[in-house]
Amino acid sequence: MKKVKLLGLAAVALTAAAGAVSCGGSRADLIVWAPQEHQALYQQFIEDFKKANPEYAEMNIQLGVSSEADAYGNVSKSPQDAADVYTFANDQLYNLINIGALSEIGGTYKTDVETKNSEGIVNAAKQGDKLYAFPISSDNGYFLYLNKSIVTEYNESSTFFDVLDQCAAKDKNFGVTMGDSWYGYGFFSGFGAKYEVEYNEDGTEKSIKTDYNGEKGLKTAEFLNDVAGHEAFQYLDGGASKETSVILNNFIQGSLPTEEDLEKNPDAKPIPSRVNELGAFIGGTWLYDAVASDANWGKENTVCTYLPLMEKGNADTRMRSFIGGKMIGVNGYAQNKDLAYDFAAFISNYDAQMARFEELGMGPSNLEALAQPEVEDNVALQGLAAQVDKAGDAQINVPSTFWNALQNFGVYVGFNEGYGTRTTEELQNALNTLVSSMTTLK
Amino acid sequence: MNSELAYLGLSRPRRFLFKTKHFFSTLPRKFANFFKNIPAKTIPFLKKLAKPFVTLYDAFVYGDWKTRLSFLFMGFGMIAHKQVLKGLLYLLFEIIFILFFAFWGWKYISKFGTLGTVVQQEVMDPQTGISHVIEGDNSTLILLYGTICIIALIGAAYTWYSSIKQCYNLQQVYNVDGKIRNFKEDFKSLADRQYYKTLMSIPVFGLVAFTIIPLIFMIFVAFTNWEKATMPPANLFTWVGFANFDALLGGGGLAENATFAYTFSDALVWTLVWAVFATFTNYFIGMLVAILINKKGVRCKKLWRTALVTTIAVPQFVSLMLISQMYSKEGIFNGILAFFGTGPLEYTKNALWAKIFVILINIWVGVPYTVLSCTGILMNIPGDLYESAKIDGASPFRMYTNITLPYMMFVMGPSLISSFVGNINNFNVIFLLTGGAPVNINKFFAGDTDLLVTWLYNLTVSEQNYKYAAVIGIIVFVIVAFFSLIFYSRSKAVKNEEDFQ
Repeated sequence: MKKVKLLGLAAVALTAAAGAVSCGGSRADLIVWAPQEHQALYQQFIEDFKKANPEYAEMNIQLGVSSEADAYGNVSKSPQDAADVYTFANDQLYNLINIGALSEIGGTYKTDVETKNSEGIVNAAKQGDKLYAFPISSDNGYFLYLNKSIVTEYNESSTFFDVLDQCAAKDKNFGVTMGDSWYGYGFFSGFGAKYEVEYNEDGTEKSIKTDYNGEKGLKTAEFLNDVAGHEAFQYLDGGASKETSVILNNFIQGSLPTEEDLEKNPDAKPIPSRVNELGAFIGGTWLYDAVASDANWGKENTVCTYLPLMEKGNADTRMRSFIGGKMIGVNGYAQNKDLAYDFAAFISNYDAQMARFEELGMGPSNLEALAQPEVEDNVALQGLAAQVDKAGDAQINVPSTFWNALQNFGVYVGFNEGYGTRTTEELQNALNTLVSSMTTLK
Repeated sequence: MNSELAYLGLSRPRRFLFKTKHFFSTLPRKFANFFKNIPAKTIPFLKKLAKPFVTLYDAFVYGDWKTRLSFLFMGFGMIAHKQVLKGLLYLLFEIIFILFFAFWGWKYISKFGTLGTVVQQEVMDPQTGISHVIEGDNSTLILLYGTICIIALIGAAYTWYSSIKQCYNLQQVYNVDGKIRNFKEDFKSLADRQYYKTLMSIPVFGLVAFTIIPLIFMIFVAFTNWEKATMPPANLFTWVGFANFDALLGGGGLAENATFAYTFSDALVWTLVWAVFATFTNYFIGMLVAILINKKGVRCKKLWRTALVTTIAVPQFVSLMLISQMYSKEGIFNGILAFFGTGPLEYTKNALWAKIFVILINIWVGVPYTVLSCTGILMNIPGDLYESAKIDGASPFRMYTNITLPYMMFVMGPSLISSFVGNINNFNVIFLLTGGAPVNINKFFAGDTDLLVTWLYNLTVSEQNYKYAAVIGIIVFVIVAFFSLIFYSRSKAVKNEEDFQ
């Protein structure tokens, strides 16, 4: 009995001792987060940076993985422990500023960014007059991909229905990204519907106004309903419908199972590309390689151009595109701010942008890089330029409530049961719901 | 109707009528009894609550100066009464606690009422163009450490009380016979008479640190406005009283609250419907399959059982992912429908179909587990019961309802409750199968098949809306506690424990 008691005491003492032991680790001088497929390039950047700046040669710069689209999700878990320098897509700017994860950029850094990059993307990196990020690309926009052998007639006065009819005639579909609010914006603004955000002094939203449920909004909803009702309509989204088979990127380029997928399901198989089913679709520059390597599309048939009109004979109703890009941010909680700012500036300069263009196909935002002949000749970037020339809007001051609300609306109009046959009243109700969730600040 | 015999003489429908009448006629009395019992139940409770204060009063009024001084200096009475080491330990505790509070705790507890007032700022150095953060208050830390401080305060108050009580007892014992237990004896008693205290200390500490503090923290969060826009450390959040609960019930007059309340009520109803169906379909179908396999004359019993067990060996989420592919638009199920010239049936587009599919698929995934546990119990039911029933001419159905079912219910009642509760929180099936689809534009970050738990997931992980998530967490807790307590206390396994065998 005594032994047992002693054992019990020992256990108690051990547990208490274990609790008292704490562990500590030292942090690298600079932690950098970049997407998986950019890792090799960033490793190169780090080496080049150390060579160019001997004063930082001894610094310990560590590289981690975080995709541009997930930057907010990863950083917001704990901004103090997140990377000091990271890349993100410009739509997350507002959220990242709100959690203090973006440091304001001033002085020569600011003038450098402002003078060397295209104006639209610099505006997208600003809140008010304050600059918060170093732009590295300005190719985040969408335009029309056409298969020349299927859609044979396309010009400035072509409408969505012209494209749909031609696709239907050849038994193909037109991929319309209706369930993704980033694209959804293009329909509404094409018909002239607007939103307006008023900000408080600290940058938080004060009020949101919109006429999305007004006359122009209803026109848009009815247009979308008509498109959805067409036999050649193929619904696409970014995952909003929860159906993997209609996710835009997977649909066009297929996808290999990620490490995460394989962890969950060791038998996960790659999703094959289905671009062959389409005669046309709305997409961005990152899809070009996949499309051009498809047997039925190929380089010779792939055309990148401006988006169609939504109303026949009305040139003002062209679907518009958001214009944004990828950016480098310096975390507000970074320890070595000098190093962080210099490194961020270094990996967003002309050389770095050209390296990204050559190795990853990212369209630069640097004015000098944009003027290079190889950039000017890039088919996808030409398509984007054609769209921007006719109907492009910088992606700035978008309400934080916009994304989820419009996405749900898109799924309702283009995917949920009864799509394509909704009545005006149903559409108006859906628009009212959309506006109420867009204008209510939580 | 005054005798049991008369009751038994009634026909079935009349018995039912009588029972209903009886229930309603006794309702007022039950109600009155409930209120009558309140004083009888509360007075002892209040007395218990008041006891420490009475002891403190006694100690102050009847205690000598040594005991009274112990109010200020913990353990003084013990030191004065020759329990020096113990007294010094109490004094040390007091000093450490005061230091802890002065240098650490006060910082947080003093701001607990506002959860911080100094907002973090960013200052631009115009020369270098680099901006720096000037840290402000961190609401999360204030809330968390404040909670820990409150618990520490309660613990310290209890220690203070018990030290005074001991000093007072010591004084009385000392005055009577002058014999005092020394420290060695005290210490020994911790390994002997009070050994339970020693052993329980770590589990209690663990319980407080890992269960009680997080629970209290979560409850506190439900009364704040902690969400994306007020995310610390760059922003502050603060107390908002019952505003979040009000929003849940559609109050506040905001459109957003209307959708929030709608989402909540709809998700709550669906959660309960789902839990009932998921639990009972699995239970009864599993039991039937088990009976079938167990039946005399069925061949290859081991084969059937092994086949079912194999499905358990496949990780559940793998089966779920595969099934969700099978039923997708291009999946095999719609392929078969197309072959017969109908369909496609897309469960991600229609709320009703999605719900039916989820329940059906859950049967597929869950039945093997029930079969397995039922088989063991079925084999345990004494065969003579069935034989005598057969001799009495009972039909198979009768044998099922009068022998098998009561027997099974008796053994599996508690596990049925736990599976019901488990289904209320069944995250996997819904999240992997539908992810909440179909999307409903009238809902607040939830689809039509989202349970309260998966909604909670959406709110915290993708929306970081902790205030509503905490409210939902509390509601789920209340629902689960309610059902488990009711069912558990009414289940036969608990009521008539000795009935079994």
